[in-house]
Amino acid sequence: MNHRSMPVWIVVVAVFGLLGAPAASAASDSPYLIAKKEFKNRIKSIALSPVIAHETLNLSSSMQSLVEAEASARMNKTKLEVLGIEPYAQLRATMIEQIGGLRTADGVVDPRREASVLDHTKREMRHRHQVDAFAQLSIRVVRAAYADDRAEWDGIKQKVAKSGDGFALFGGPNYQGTIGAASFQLAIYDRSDQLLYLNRGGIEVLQERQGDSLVLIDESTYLQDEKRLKKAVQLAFKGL
Amino acid sequence: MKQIRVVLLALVTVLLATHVFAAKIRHVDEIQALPENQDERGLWNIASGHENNIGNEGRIVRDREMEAYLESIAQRMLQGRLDHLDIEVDFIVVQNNILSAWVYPYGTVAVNTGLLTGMENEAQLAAILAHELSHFMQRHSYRELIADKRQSFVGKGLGLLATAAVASQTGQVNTGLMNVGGLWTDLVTSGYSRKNEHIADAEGLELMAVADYDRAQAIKAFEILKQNFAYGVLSPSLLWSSHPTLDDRLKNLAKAVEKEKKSKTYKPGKVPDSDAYYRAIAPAILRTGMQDLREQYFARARGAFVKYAKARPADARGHHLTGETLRLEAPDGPDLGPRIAAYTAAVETDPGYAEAYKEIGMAQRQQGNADAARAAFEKYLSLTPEAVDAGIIRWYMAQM
Repeated sequence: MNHRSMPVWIVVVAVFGLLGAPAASAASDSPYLIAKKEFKNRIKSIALSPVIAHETLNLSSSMQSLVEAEASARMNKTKLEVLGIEPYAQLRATMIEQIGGLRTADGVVDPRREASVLDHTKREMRHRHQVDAFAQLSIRVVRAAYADDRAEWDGIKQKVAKSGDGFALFGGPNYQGTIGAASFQLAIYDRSDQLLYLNRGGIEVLQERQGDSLVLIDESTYLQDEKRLKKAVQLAFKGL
Repeated sequence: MKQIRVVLLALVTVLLATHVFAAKIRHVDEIQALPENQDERGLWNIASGHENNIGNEGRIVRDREMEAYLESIAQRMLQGRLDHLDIEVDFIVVQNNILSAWVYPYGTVAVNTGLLTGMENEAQLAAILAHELSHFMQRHSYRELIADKRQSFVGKGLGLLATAAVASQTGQVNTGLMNVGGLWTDLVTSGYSRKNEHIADAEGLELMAVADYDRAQAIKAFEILKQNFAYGVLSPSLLWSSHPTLDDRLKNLAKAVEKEKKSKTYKPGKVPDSDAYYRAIAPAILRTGMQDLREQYFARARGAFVKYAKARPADARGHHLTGETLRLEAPDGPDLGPRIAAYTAAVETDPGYAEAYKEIGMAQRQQGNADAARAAFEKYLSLTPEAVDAGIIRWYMAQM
């Protein structure tokens, strides 16, 4: 290699470096599990499920309505023909009733009953409604990246409450790892139950730091912040 | 210029030294003990770490009968060639639908369920196993990764880790950079050099001849690998068939087979019965189908279940799962006949198969055949009155 050709190589490497990095990250961040164009071609109508929250989160009916209203509004802004939450919610309630409730005599949610209700509800929805896809709305417990008393996950950042550090003037150790958090999830399946779109928006952390331990925050405070809930829905719908 | 000369001289010295060292790596036929030294022992430990990882992840399909069948194929081809080393070739079957196989440097051959299912008869499988056995007998992993100190990231990493592995004797070496399993994965997926692949192909044909298998089946086996090249694979490097120059190797194999046919001593080998082969590897076929079903490769899953049902006619699962592929692939039909036929075959095989009755009921209800649906649901409920969804089924019946 002569001295003249060397800068050319450097330029080529630099250009490919600049072009390559954003392309790679954009592809991996896409919520679509099939090509977006194919999704738009195939899916013209969609049915919405009610929001199903992890049982430990104690989602109140008022907050459930708020999240469902926000999700319905977002879905209605797309070009899709939308079947509202009501048919799915009614059918699900019927299935739960027929199965004798989701909980066992001990008051614990039985995963077998839950799976059976989900399966039969989806099948009956398909039987009754000729929509192209089904949107499953849920609020899930997830692990958020945690460092320096800050959590970051599913498109949001949140400061983590702390106590028990005494009077340390120069700060304590920098704790790193993961922390429990809640996220809103939008999953869209086609009629064959193939997952086509999956996206989440972070809501809030569920733990705080006490000294060198992470402990659960008082459960009665979960999912009470309307702004956070709406923002989470917006994030999950981003890209649809 | 002086600097360049010094660098070139150093490079030539290294290459010569490596070549001299590499020449000492002999075929297992010519040595009395394995491993021969601490470096090779280290490589074994690293490979063993990878095998342990697969086991710990629950990905090994344990079926003694199937393993014994694979061992019998190897024994027929080896004819006691490893007896002097006190090494027995054994097998692990790995739950993975990618058509792949590899050999550890201590003679354990790993075969993916996808590869077993993809082959059409024992001779084709023997071709793949013979190739892997040759890699083992030629000690290719040791030759390429330790002795040659291949100028690759993998080679350098393994060289360093081998020493550490000898010290630990655990097969679990933490360098802070990567684990041993990861390193072996890199080795397996990067494949061997073109030269060593050709050596293994040629010796593989010889091993097939010893066991009286039709060598032309090796070409068919390679063609199947080629056809499945892009199937369900995220990275082509994960495929056995991605070993270098598959087309070249197919050409070379065809030439070798033709040349052998012209020799005076040529004896055409046998092509064992496909049905017997499918019976022997039936557990792998079932696993392949179930993985394909989970991953929504419905047509291939259905192919596996039909094969399984034929191989194990007394097991109703093959028919039931065939019905499941049809149901999940086209929940709306329109023709639900084949689905109902598959579930019906399941209950004919095993009249106590409750799930199949439920699905017959669901399909008949979907088609508006109330009487047939009710009959099937009643059978389902009589077989499993405590079914978790019994209440929902009764509700369906009340709605009809």
